[in-house]
Amino acid sequence: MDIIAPVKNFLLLLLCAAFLLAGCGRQKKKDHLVIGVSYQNLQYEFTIYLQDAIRSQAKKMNIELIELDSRGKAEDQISEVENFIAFGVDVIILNPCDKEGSAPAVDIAVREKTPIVVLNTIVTNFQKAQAFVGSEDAEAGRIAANYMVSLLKGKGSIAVIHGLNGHSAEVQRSAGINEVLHKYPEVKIVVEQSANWDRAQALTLMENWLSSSKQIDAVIAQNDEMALGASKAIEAAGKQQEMPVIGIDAIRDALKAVEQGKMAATIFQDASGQGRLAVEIAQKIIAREPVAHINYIPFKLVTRENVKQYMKNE
Amino acid sequence: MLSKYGIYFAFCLLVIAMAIISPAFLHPSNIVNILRQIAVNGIMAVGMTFVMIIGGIDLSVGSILALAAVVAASFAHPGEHRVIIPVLMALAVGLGVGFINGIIIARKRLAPFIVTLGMMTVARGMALVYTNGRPVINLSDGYNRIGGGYFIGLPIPVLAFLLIILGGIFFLHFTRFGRYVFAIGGNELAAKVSGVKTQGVVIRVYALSGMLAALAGVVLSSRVMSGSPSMGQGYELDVIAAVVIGGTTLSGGVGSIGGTIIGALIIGVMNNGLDLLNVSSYWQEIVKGVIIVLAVMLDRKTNR
Repeated sequence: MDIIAPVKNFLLLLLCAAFLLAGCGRQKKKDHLVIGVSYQNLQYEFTIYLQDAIRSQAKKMNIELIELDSRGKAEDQISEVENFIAFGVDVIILNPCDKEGSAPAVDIAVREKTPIVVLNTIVTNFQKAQAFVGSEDAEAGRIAANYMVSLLKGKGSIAVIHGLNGHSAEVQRSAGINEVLHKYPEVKIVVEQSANWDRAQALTLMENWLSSSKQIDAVIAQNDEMALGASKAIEAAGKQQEMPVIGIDAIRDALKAVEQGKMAATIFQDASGQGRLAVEIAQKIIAREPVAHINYIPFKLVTRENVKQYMKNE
Repeated sequence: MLSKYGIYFAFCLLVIAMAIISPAFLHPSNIVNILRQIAVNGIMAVGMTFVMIIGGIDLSVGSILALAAVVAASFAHPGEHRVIIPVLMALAVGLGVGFINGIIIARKRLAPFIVTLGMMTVARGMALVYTNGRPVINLSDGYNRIGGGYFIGLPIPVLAFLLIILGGIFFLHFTRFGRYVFAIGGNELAAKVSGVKTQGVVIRVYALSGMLAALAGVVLSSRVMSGSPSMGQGYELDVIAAVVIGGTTLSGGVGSIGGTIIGALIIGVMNNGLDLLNVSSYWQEIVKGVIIVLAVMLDRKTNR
C-alpha cells in the first residue's frame, strides 16, 4: 500500500499535465474550424446515422469535431455545451434530447456569443439559435395518416403506437396524425398506447391488442422499431394481409420488411441529408455567409413500389 | 394454509378481476400470450431468486441480457453457423460475466449492490463497443425460430421457461447446493463454520444468474429478430419486483421458485390486462406500482 499511493499520485499528476497540454494545443492550432457536436443519444440507430453524416462531411471540409453524447439526459447536454464554450469551439451543433430541458443549452450559447445550430429535434427556443436543420415531425405524422386513410378507403379503425410520451417527435407526430384523422370521421383511433420507441415493447403491446376483442384494421407506429415489433405480432397471428402497418424513419430492417410486404410502408427521414446540411451551415455561419433560419428536409413515403431506390443508399 | 399461500391468493384475485373486466383475458390464445411475454422476465427471475436468497442482489442482469443478445446476434447471420453456436456463445458470455461478479463479491468481500451496479454499466458499455452502438440485424430463420417457433404445441420461449423453472426448483429445493444457498442467506458465518464452502456457492449463484440473463437475451433477441445494445434497460427492476412479490426477502434466507413464478405472473397479467383494457400508459405506471405494493402487503399480512 505504501508504494501504491505515491505512484497513484504521480499518475494523477501526469494525467492533469496531459490534459493541460492538450488544452494548450487546441488553443494554438486554429488554422481550421472546430465544431462541437452534442448528440441526443448515440444508442438510437437514427442518431448514429446523423453522426456518420456529420463525420464524413466534416472530414470532407477539413473541420475538426469534438463529439459528446448526452445519452438522453438534458442536464448533461447543458454541461456539454458549457464545456464546448470553454474549449473555445467555433460553432456548436446541438441535437437536443428534450424539447424543454435542452433549451437552456441554446440560451447559454447565445449568451456566450457562440453560434449554435439546432439539429433534427426542436427545442422551445430554437428561434434564438442561428439555424435549425431537421424535418418537420408533424409532416411524418400527416403522411402516415393520409396513407392509412387511403389504404382503408376512408373508413376503419386504427391503432396508434406512440413513442416516448412527451418526446418532441412523439408530440409532433401525434399532432400530425390527429390533424389528418379529424378530417375523416369514419376513421377512428380505437386503441393507442406508448411503446417507448422500443421494438420488444411494441411486440408485447400488439400481441395484447390482438388478444382483445377490439377490431383493428391498421396500425400506425411512430417509428420503425415499433412498427417492426407490431408486424411481428401480426405475422404470428396470421393477419399480415388484412392489417397493414406503417412506421417512420426508414431504417434498414424496415426497408426489408416493406420489400417483403410485412410492413405496408415507412417514411424516410433523411439523416445523412440533415447531418450534412448542419455541418455546411455551421461553416457558412463562420464565413459570415447568409443562412436560412429554418431548413426543413422533407420526409418521403416509402412503399413497395419505390423501396428499392432507398435500399441502394445503404 | 392460507398464511403460506397469501401471494397465490392475491394472484387468483387478480386473475378473477381481470376475467370479469375483460372477456378476452381467459381466452387460451391470450394465456399462451401472457406466458410467452413473461418468459424473458421469468427466466431471469429464477436466477435472481438464488441471488436474493443468499442475501445478494444482481443489478447487472439487464445489461448482461443486452451483451449476450448482441453477441448471439452477431453469430446468427444466415448461412454462417448452426443455431446452437450463437446460443452457446451467449451463454458463455453470461456465465463469464456472472462469474466475475461472483468472484469479486465472494473473494473481495464487496457489497453485491456496488459490484453488480458497476457491472451493469460495464456490460452495457461492452455491448455498445462490440456493436458500435448499432443494432445487429439480418438474423437467420433458424435463430428467429427460438423466439417465434413452437415445439410440441408450446411456444419455444414458454418451453424454455418451464425447463428453467423445473431446473430451478430441483436445484434450490432438492439438492445439497440448494440447502447451502438457504444456509448462506440465513447466516453466512454459521454456514461457513459448519463446513459449507460459501465462496464457491456464492460464485456459482452469480454465474447462474448471469447465464440465465444471457438465455433471456437469446430469447428476446430472437423474438424481436435483432440484437440491440440498448435492450433490457431497467429489466433488473422488473426481475427484482417479481422475486420480491413472490415472497423472497431482500435480506435473504427465505424464498422459493414457486413464489417467484407467481410474482412474474402477477406482473405479466397486469401488463397484459392493462393493455387489453387500453388503460393509458400514464395510468399504467401508477396502477402497476400500487398493485406491486398491495400484493406484497397482502402476503406479509397473511404470513404473520
